Amino acid sequence: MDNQSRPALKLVGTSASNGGVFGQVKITGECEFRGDLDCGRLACTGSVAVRGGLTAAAIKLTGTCGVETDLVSGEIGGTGELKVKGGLRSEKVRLSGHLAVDKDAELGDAVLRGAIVCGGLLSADRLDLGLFGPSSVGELGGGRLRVRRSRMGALKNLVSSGGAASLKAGTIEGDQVELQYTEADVVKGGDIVIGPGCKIGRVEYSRELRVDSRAQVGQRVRI
Amino acid sequence: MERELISKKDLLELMGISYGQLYRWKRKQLIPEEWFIRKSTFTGQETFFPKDMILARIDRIMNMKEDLSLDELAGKLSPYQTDLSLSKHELMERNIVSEVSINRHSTPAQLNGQETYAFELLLYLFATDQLLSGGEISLIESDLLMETLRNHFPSYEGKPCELLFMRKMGVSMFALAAAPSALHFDAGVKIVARLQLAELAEQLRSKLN
Repeated sequence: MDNQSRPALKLVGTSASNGGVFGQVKITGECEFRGDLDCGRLACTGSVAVRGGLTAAAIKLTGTCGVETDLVSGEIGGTGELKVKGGLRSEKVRLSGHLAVDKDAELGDAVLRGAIVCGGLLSADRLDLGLFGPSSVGELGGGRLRVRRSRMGALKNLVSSGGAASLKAGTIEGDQVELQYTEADVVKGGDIVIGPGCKIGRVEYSRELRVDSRAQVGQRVRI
Repeated sequence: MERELISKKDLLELMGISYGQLYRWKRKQLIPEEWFIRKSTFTGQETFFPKDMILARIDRIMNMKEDLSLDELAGKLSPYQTDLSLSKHELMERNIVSEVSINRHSTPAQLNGQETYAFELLLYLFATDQLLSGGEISLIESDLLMETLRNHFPSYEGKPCELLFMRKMGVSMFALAAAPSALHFDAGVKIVARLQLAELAEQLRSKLN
């Protein structure tokens, strides 16, 4: 659709909309969309709930965003909480905070700080995950995967009881995998680095494997 | 019909591709979601693919990606390509659909070569012809099938769907359902044929190209 038929939408305060097709959407405050929303750039300061699917060229989030079905966005950036009840697809993600996806999350280049909960497969070309809270994914896959505990995450563990900053996953597959504080059944890949705090049932690697002395690895298989 | 499967590990090794590429192609929707088949093995969950289809698809991606970006590729690989059409003469020459089906389900303009067959129509003919020549449906039933496809297939807008042909007490009926779907019938119903239209479209395309 061309630009003329995509009007801009600006919402301030507590508001509701039936959704639709828009250009730029700016939300300050609280807004509920009672249907699918298709827009250019979505900027939200506050909270937005979409009772349907959300398609956007880019999303800038400061606050919380909830999507009832699928979320497709070129870019996602910001701070806060993003909850998707369906699947998530995005080429570029820079998010600090909490990301919850019930189905699969398919990402291009993703840098995430915080906690992630993904019910299905989380895949990314390049994933940099800084753990700040208890995280879990059904499956993790992609090109270069890096999971670390952020420095603040280690500090937070001392003072809070909300669960350790660690990741739980079923299977992890990647060409280059670097893990810390991760519990997984199987890790498969080319170059694998298992860092401190990891508990891995079985590692299958094709090129190189390094295991930290503070990690537990059951089986190691070179294939 | 049990089809041959290939595990993800074997696939990567065989084609010389990486996990990253496979997941990227999946994200760009170059490889359909339904081809990822999860099964339990003794080392835990593994993903399998229908072997012939995934090998052909990866081959095409690898050949085409030199000149096209991945996003352009996605359009080319969609099973219901729309810019293809054939005349009756070409259709007969390539032996895609039998003459009986062509003659029965074409307009006069198509028969004398003034009009061509669009891809969707070719797909309907192809599906009908497969069932007809397989002896599963009669000529009269094939009219009903063409009508069902014409009326309802466009409403799926390219989403995967399957075609069912059932009989109960000599009464036949066709149904289109979104795939993958779990359908259950009472004991008297016999499912005579079940076709994945996306798969048929894939086969048809390989015959056209």
